[in-house]
Amino acid sequence: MEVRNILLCGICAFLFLLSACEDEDNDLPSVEDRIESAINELRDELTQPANGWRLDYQPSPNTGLFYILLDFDDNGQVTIKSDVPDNAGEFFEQTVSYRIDNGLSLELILETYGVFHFLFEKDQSSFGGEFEFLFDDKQGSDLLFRSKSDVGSSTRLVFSPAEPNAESLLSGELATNISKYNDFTTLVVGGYPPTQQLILENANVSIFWTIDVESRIIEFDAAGVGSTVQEFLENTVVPLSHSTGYIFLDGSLVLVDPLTVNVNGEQFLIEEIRLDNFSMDGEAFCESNIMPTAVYEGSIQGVGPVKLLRSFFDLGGLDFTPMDESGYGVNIIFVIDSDDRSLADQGSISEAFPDAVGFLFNYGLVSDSIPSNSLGVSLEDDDGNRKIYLREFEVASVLGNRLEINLLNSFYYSDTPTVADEQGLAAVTEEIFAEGTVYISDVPNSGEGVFRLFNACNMYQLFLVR
Amino acid sequence: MKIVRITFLFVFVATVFNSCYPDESLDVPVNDDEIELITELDQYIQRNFTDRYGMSIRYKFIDNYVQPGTRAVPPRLETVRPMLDFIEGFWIDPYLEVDNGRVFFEDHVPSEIILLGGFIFNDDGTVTLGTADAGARITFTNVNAIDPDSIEWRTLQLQTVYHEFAHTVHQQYKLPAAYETISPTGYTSAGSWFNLTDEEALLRGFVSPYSTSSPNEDFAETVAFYLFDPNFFENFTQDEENCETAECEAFNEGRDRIRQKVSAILNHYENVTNVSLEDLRAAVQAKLQ
Repeated sequence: MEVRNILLCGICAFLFLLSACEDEDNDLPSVEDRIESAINELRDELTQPANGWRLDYQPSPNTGLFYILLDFDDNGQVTIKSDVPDNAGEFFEQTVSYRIDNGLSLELILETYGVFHFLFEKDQSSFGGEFEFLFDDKQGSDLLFRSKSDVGSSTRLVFSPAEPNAESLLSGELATNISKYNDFTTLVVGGYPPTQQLILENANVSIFWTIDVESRIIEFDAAGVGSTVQEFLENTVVPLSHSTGYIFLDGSLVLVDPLTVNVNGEQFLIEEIRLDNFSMDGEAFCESNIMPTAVYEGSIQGVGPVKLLRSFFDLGGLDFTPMDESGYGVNIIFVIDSDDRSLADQGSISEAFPDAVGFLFNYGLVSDSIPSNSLGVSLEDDDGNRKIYLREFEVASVLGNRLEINLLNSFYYSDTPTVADEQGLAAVTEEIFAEGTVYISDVPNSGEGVFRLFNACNMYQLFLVR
Repeated sequence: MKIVRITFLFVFVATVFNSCYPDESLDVPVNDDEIELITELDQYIQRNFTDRYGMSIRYKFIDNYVQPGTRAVPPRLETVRPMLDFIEGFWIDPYLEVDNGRVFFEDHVPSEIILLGGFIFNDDGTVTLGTADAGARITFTNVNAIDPDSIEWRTLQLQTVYHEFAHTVHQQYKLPAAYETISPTGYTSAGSWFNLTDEEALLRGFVSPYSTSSPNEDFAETVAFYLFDPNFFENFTQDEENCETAECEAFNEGRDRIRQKVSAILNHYENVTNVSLEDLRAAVQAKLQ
């Protein structure tokens, strides 16, 4: 009985399901046809806009934006225009090949090297860029893609039909000029983005920030009254902790997150800085080795004319102050030349003092034997015996984070030096502190009391720990 | 029993459903395999590599060509043709110039050459300079920096291609007899070869730290260094004379092991491929002058 019921049920199910196999299924296109159709459809979408596509491209949440225009053709080529100024403008305009694949979804692949690949491989391919995009959807007239290669949350890319004037918004020249503020920038310890000073001329207010021209991030440092550092420090300084990405549009630097700052009872909104006249007539930071620096003249709506200067001011550098109880010091490897090589690895310190283990900088030290202001090396032999060789200096001037010293021909040795040691100490200290002026900044993300001393005359740098 | 019946019913229903649709094979080609000869470059590749050697040159990016968890970019379009000239001049032509070299090359050439613009960056922070897969594919990296006059760049490319191509020999004909007994204790444990210095490798009888990773890699490295290094004999096989220290003698013992390896490899190539590696080295070195 039970078996018969099951058989009946089975036959009924069989007939029911067979009825579902109607002829209309035979009209369903094959998988190949459907894939080809989907690919053609996306290709048609990509090639349709008369002025191509506009993409305000943010490779990762840790970067600002890049203005990019894409013009696809039917033959698998896409012309890409961007404001990325690297490689002598190689990426201002390029034609590369593209392909639409079908994987888990439709994929747009930029097949040969262009601006997206350049951004992808920055920082040993950790910058966050991409050149393989998964097609998500069409929303209105926009095409929505997301990164195929991001491991965590995927970058979303919105292709919007470009306006007829889209090309005029490209600001390659501005991007190139802003990158010239990057002179004096070194690669060591994550690199140091240049500092800029924005002078609001009508209000006689300065705003200092660092600008990372690679990732397009601005970190604000301080604001206050005055157009020179001296004047600025004589007035109330407003510390700032705001940071934002930025994009170049139509000759302006546009902040993603605008800054509002109160200085001397007046409020300023910094949102879009129009930058018009560029020159390399800025302040030279070393008298004997005149290296021109960048200057932009421009304006901010509602604020008036502005000037954008290269600067070495750093509010955190003001914390580098004399210490009477102990000196500043650092592992010897953190004395670095203009080629970003440690002088202890290859250079004068390794040659003159192969046993050197530390660099010492006494600044206002109170001691019966050791000079109050002195700098030099600490040495340790194979048996662990330590000695220090120091050279005395006098402080010529201090202006904020700018320290000028004069090296003296007065030396301190904890142990009797050889003639070669004496000559070596004189030569090493002359080399590091050539011209005698250093700009001091605190080292971000390293805790309090870690400073970088930068010599703009020879591009040497030295890190010191309080 | 009940479970069996329900299972039967499910299978039955599934079978009926399955029969509803026309045959739709899942092995649909994702990409169009037909080569569209749309550019002069593609036509050049077809004529000079694909038709001649059965070798496909892949310069347009396909992510299947790099391992998951690695990051790489394609080359600049304008570097592809110079790179092909380099490959022809410094890899293919030397084989064509020696006795039996053409037959050997055509019989063993990998079916795919992958060109990448930069290095391959791995998730663990390491960098891969070049790869090959079972003799079927050789990947050239850093093509965007092409500079055949740069010894550093040239060495990277030649070391990669001669190394990877040498693998085809032991894969098809095995290693020379008792090859692994020449440096029996010198091989490193898995993944630790990079802890060795060049000098430590030489002491063990190897031309590089990487060659200590296995007898197969040792074979390929030794062939590669033998072919492209102009100073191979000075660097690896010529004894230091008038040895008076234990360290000096240890280095000479290492050099002796490398001499034994080179001898075994030369005989092996002659026997199984009919190609004289000495002649091949001479042809390669003539290109490098």
